[in-house]
Amino acid sequence: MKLDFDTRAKPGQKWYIALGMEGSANKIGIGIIKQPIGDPSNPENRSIILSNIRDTYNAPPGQGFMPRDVARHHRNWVVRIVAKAISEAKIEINEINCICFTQGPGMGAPLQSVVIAARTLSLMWKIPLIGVNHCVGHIEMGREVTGANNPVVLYVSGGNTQVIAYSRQRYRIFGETLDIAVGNCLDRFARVLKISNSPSPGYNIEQLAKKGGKFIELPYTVKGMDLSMSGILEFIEELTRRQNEKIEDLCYSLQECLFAMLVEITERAMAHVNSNQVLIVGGVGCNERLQEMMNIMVKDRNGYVYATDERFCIDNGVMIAQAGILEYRMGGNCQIEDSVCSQKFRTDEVFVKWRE
Amino acid sequence: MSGPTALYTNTNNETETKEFTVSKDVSNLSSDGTTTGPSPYLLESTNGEYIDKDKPAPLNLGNPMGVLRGQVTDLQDQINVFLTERIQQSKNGDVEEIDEDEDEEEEDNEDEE
Repeated sequence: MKLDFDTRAKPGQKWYIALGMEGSANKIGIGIIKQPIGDPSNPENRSIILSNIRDTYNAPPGQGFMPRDVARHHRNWVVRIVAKAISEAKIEINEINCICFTQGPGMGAPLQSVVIAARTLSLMWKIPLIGVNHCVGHIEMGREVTGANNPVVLYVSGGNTQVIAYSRQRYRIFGETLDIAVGNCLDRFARVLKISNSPSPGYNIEQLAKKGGKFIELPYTVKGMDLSMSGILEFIEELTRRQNEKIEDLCYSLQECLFAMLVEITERAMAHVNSNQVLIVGGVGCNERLQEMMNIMVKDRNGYVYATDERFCIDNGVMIAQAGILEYRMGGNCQIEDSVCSQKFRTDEVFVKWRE
Repeated sequence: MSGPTALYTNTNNETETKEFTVSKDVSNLSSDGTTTGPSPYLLESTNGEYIDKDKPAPLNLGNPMGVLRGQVTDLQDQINVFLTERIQQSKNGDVEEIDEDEDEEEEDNEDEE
């Protein structure tokens, strides 16, 4: 099957430019990319990032973020961040081919704030809208930045934990959490410890874990290809309340236990699809210890781990632009009446038109 | 150009309506609405010490979009106050509760008949 990526190209057009808008959780991100015409899987046709602006809503220590306050944050910052992204990209509005927005999954109120902004810009500027699945955005950005061709994807963030592999134009979920996401488990433990939410609770746990070294045994709850983390959280919260263990050792043990579970199901997915590449995406993917543990496993399989830094691991607008521009180039167009966002939008619901 | 308006209609009683309009005087407009600040939960949980870093940018009343932004904020405040009062009255039993699921069921039954 030969894919044609340029059915929408006008005579003389050399580039496509996409503006991506992300706001499914506590970060609002606007990113602008340009992509040359031709097959985007060709290394010479990689996307060029023109701007990647992000602002994070941080709740006070000991608290999670409330949807209403996050939505307010996004509403009040979106115009300023779009203006800054366009200014930094040094483009004219009429050069933008499509406006891409996160259609789900995520928190309802923040998603809604950004969708309304995207619709408004689309109507004002008469530019087509493209709805993007947040998880597919992470995967496509990870593939683009690292050059990983057909990896098993470990998607780990505050809202999602999935092991994914591509097959027949879908990103298929091989394993996932049965309850809370790994990032949510770390964030909620940070709340118990009342450590700062800035720059992120997970980062602060990682720094504390580096100072720990005593492994405290925690429940290990891999269930087939899936995993469960709510019981581990409850268990470690109880240990914290008893105050018999150092906080640093608790952080260390929690990371070791959770990440070992993730490595185990990833390895099983790799064996199943006969792949030797792993791509780690999502906010927890920035964790250096997770990358290190994954590397140990993958080396045994003579493979490679691909990971990105915080610019692309953590939610951002560029990843939405990247997945959106591929959809646009394959003829995608989201009508205003179809641009309703949804808290539930599974990765495997998306028909991946841009891959064979 | 006339300003934005909004119309509330009770789906259970379509004669019960309320129209929201904005004043022609734009000098009192603000982008910082009276009902669109940080949540009461956030303010209470921080004992009033919450520093709001997410205030909206000030209005630019020198252009039509700036005026519209202020008018929409005003309209939003009016609607929020009205609906909050209605919810409160509904909890107190002063107004008929709106239960759309029940309405749909009734309509379904009528169709079957």
